[in-house]
Amino acid sequence: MTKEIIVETKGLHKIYGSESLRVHALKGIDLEIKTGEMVAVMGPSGCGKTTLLNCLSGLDSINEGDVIIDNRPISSLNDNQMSEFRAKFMGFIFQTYNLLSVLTAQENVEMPLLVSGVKSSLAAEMAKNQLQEVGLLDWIDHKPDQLSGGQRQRVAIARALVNKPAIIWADEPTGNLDSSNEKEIMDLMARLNSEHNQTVVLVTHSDLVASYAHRIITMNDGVIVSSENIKK
Amino acid sequence: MEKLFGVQTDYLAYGSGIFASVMFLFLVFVAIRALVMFKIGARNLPRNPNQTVLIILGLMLSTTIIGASLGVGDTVTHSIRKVVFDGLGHTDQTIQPTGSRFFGEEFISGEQLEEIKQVIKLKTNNVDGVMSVVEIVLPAENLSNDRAEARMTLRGFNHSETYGFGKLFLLDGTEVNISSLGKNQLFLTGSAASTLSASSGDELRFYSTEGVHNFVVKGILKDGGLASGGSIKLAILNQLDMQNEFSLIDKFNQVILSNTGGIEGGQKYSEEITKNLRLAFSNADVSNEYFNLLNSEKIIDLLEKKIEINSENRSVSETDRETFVAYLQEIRKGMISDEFINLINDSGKRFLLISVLKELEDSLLIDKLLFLSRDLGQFEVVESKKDAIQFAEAIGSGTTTFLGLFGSFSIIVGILLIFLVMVLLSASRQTEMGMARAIGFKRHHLIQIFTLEGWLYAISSSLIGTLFGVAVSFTLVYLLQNAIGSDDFNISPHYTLTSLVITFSSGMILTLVTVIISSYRISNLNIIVAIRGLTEEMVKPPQIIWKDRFKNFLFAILWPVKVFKDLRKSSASVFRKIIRLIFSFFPPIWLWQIFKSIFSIFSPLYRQGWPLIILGVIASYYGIDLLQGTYFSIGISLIILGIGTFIRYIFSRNISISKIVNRIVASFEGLLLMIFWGSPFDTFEAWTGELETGVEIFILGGVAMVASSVWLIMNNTQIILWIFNFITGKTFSGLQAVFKTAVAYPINAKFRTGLTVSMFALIIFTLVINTVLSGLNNVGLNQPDRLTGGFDIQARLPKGFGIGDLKENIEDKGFSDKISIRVVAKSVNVPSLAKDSTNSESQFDDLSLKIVDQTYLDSNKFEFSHYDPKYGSNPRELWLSLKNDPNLAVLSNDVFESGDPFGPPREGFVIKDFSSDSGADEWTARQILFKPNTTSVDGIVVSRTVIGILDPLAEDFGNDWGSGPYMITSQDVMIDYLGKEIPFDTIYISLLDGDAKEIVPILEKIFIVSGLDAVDTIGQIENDAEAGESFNRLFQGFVGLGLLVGVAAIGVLSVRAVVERRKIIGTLRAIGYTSNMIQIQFLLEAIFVTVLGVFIGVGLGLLTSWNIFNSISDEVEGLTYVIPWANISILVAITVIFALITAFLPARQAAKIFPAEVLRNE
Repeated sequence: MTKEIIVETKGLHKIYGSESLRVHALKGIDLEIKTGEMVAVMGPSGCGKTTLLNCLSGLDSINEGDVIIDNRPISSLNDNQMSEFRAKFMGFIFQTYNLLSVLTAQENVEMPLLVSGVKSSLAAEMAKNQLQEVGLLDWIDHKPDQLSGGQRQRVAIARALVNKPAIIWADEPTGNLDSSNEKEIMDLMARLNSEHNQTVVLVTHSDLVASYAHRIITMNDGVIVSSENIKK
Repeated sequence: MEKLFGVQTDYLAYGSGIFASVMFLFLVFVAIRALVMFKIGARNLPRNPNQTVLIILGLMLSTTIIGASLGVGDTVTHSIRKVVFDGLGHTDQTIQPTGSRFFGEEFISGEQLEEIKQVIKLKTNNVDGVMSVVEIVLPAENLSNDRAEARMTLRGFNHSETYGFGKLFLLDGTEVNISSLGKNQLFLTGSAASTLSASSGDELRFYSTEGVHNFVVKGILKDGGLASGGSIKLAILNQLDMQNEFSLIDKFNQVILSNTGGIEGGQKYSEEITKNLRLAFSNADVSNEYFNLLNSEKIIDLLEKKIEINSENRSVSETDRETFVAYLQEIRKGMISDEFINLINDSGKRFLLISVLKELEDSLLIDKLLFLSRDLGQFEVVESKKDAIQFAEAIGSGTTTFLGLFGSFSIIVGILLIFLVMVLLSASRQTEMGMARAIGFKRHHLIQIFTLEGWLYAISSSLIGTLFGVAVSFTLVYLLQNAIGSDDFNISPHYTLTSLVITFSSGMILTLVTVIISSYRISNLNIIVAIRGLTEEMVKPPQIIWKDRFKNFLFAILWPVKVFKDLRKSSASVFRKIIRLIFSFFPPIWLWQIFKSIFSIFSPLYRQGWPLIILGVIASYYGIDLLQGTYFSIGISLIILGIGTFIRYIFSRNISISKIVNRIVASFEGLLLMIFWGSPFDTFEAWTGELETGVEIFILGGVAMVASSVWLIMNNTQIILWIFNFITGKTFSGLQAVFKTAVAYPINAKFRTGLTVSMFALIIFTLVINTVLSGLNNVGLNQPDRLTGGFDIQARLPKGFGIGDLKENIEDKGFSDKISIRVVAKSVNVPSLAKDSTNSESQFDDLSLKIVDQTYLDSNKFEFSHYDPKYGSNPRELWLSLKNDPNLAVLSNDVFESGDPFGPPREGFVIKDFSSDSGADEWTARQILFKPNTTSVDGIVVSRTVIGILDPLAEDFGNDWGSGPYMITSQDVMIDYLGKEIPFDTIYISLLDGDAKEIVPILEKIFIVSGLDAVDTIGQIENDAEAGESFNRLFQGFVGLGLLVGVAAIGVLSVRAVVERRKIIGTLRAIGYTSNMIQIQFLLEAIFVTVLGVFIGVGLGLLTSWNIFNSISDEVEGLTYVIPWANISILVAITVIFALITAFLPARQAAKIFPAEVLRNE
């Protein structure tokens, strides 16, 4: 079966700073990512991995070219439309989890649902189910500072998945974890990816993490130097 | 102002100035010694200029509040002083016949005048003018235009004596003198000319008991010199001409003295001149006799008791206490001295002593002292200007004390803000501080960094705060002008250098002390916790090593030895070692070490709670024993806190439940304290008896109630969150996420939120009480008859003038079409002494006897707070009983002891064995004996049966402008008591129709011959209400400054929240928050904290005002508790709007955060 292209970019340029301090972070990126694909972006520090992720997800603006997600050019969306699009279509996982320390695990997971206008009783139910899926049903009333690093990242994953988004963006999702937690998290992500057919784009330095991906894109100095499919 | 809180302002300025300077120099020393720490601290100021400005603005608010209260006090003092100087001109002392105080009008003869002048010449220095004065007050009419004045003062001066009293100038600047006045010519001062609309050449007519006197106005004088009269309507005449015209040949009312040094500078000689003259005029034999009467153990004991500073002597003012000390010193000498003679010849101080001696219940002694008082000296010397200036000072410092007292809430709130700012600063630098400690910085280095940084803030904020304080005080002064200003009394802004020094220094001390305490607290951090951003709970507290604590205590006792021992190991220079050793002998340092070590030994015990319980029991016991409400309340609070601490201690070992126990115990502590402090004032009286409290209970109670409510709420935040989730979940599912985070963040930051909520709650609490209670005053406007007795006009006549039949006179003069009168009633007051015959302890004390005519009894509508039902069941029946039985009387309400902790003590006759709280019909008729108040020489003692006590609202108009307690009885008493009928001097008019305001001037004009001086009673009530309203506005404006502090706290919190949560903002944007949602979330946070504070403040304010209302309504029937929702809503709206405005910029800043930028940083 031929998979549909869900993310597409042509001639993507990103420049930071003013005239005197210009940093050309992305230099004409052409990329296509298919539905259900798990893509790992690798490369040395400062090569533009996170910038690419931020530009693709609409968190950052672009200077040239365009990003088309699900056949929609994101440059045509205003701030509110983009926020709504992110809430319904995307999930994010960060290296430092970025959970709201004042809310419980369940409340953290409920947030994207509530933002999308889901009723609170339904949101609570869905959050609980999602936490069960990541193995944290017994921890739903705990706040982030009462959880271990691995557990926090599971909550972050649950938060990213709860809205059933089409794309998950993950920036160094295991960067703060030890090797056993890293494997556990990646097993979980791989399982969820295959079960829900969600597209996952992750930025990593870890070979282990990259080994879970269907394709590894390698970047250097703002350009893609290789795109290699991995045979499982 | 010369005094503040009983302390000389000069001393306060020196004290605070020196203390602030010492602190300043000490920090300069520290900064030089630890230059690196200073640089680390100082570099933070330019790093974030916006934050620095915000901090300085926040820190300056306490200083501004202090400055504003001092400025208002200065202005009031200055304005009254101005009135005094305008009124008295060059006159510093006055000499008058002693008998005038006892026998009414008495004069100085020409022979006596020469004698006085001789004495002044021989016995005094620094007197540059002596002048005799002839003075009378008469009704006057301008025949040229029909304008009239009921009370025109005529003063006759002798041109040859005017040296030293300034020159006279006409309005056009031409110099004139008294000798230029021809026969029946006079000068008018500006205010007199304006009242009579008089100009040069107008013919004036004066009405005396002897007939009419016509004079021509020779000119209008500029104020100043002999034309100084202030608001008095003054006419200046040639003395001889005046004496001839008014049959006052060889009669002088007084002699006035001017000291060298001009109008303001002469005061400094006043004390010495007065003392010398009193000695010269005193009668040695009588003074000796007086001394012998006072030289007794029981009087010494009484005076010693009176000078003690305790609650029993609450009513003893600082000035009175000084007088008692002076008497005590002189009596203890065992022999008469010049100082003693000076004291007893000061009539004010003499009568003060006599009034206190009444407590000995030795009426013979009192009678003898009063009798001797007449012959103490031939003439009485009064320090006119000094006394008046002291009065001005008292009013000014009273205003500042009042504002300072209520401003103390705002000052407390300001201190909380300083603390909050420092805590937030430390929070923002926690990792930095942890790292610093990790690389070798010691704790004292962190204290130095923060203190030195705070020092720079303190200097800037004190300076700016002082300037703002001056500006705010001048703004408030405009409100004051509306409240008490009039044509005769203008408020002119003024600020003294002393107040500036006090404001700046006290502001700096306050800020620095808070900064140092905060720095001490901030520096106490766990390095790992700080670096990794963990919570303190995760760190195990250090073990208590008792041996070390005791060792430290022993070392503290031998502190210099310890320092010496340490210095031996130190590598410091010999000079430094010597300096440190010398400093170790410095008592405060040594004592501080001992105190610290003792505290350290016992500190683990405090955590067990039981010491607090014991302390609380002791305080409550003493509170009950000494009848001190404040001690009792503190004691009970300590017991509650002690029990809570004890329970926590018991469960602290079991970590799994200690958190829940903590929360439950904290909730109970908060709830119990709130119930205790919020209960009606007499709740515990059944067990404790009636306890006394001072004004401090208001501040203590307010702070305690707010603190306990905030404590209760901040320990039950889950409930708030649940309520919010419930409401928002049902109604705004889309916005629930925003609501959830907006509430979750503040309730998780319990300390800073609790602090900010407390700030708002304290201020709103004070404002709500003020708003509710000022509404209660409106009872006068709603039921005016209770104040006026149903009389529209009240008028009085000068002594010796009669008015005949008022109605007939009006008809005869053709005014019956303009004035339609229903009733004319009359009364006259006779000063008396009275005693309660049913109470064996009762002594004769001042009571004014108000004798009224039958019409008064027939027509007045005054009501009663208490009455004997045997004589009637309603006011009319009671008045009718009085009319039918001349042996009956009623008393004014101020015969009851005042239960008002804020008000002055009641003076004069008191009913001791009947409580004002008793039911209205529980009064039983009783006999009151009374006699003339001069002496009992003639032994006239009359009795009347008192059947009721008047409504307290009747006091304003019931007592014919008099003060103190009074008794009303019918005119039959005249013959029994005085042996003759005396003329009535007060008239009450009830109109059939027409506006009293318009009728008053017509009446005054018709009866100008009789000098009738009338007021429109309703108009007077309205004016008083308006003045009261202006005072409320001034008060609210002043207290409202505290709201600025709360609003500043919201700003500080919002700015900090944005900085702290940048990454979370980015994450929220990533999961779908729009920038508007971020902005709304931050604004909602501000609203939530503000509304929580407002809610607590309004709730507690209403509760406390309800308690106050209940306490007052026992005494004043007819008061209704009305919650001024409109005013409160405006207050709430203003607070919330200002909080929103302050939070708007940080919220906008948060909304503009670009997600990729903050997320990339990781």
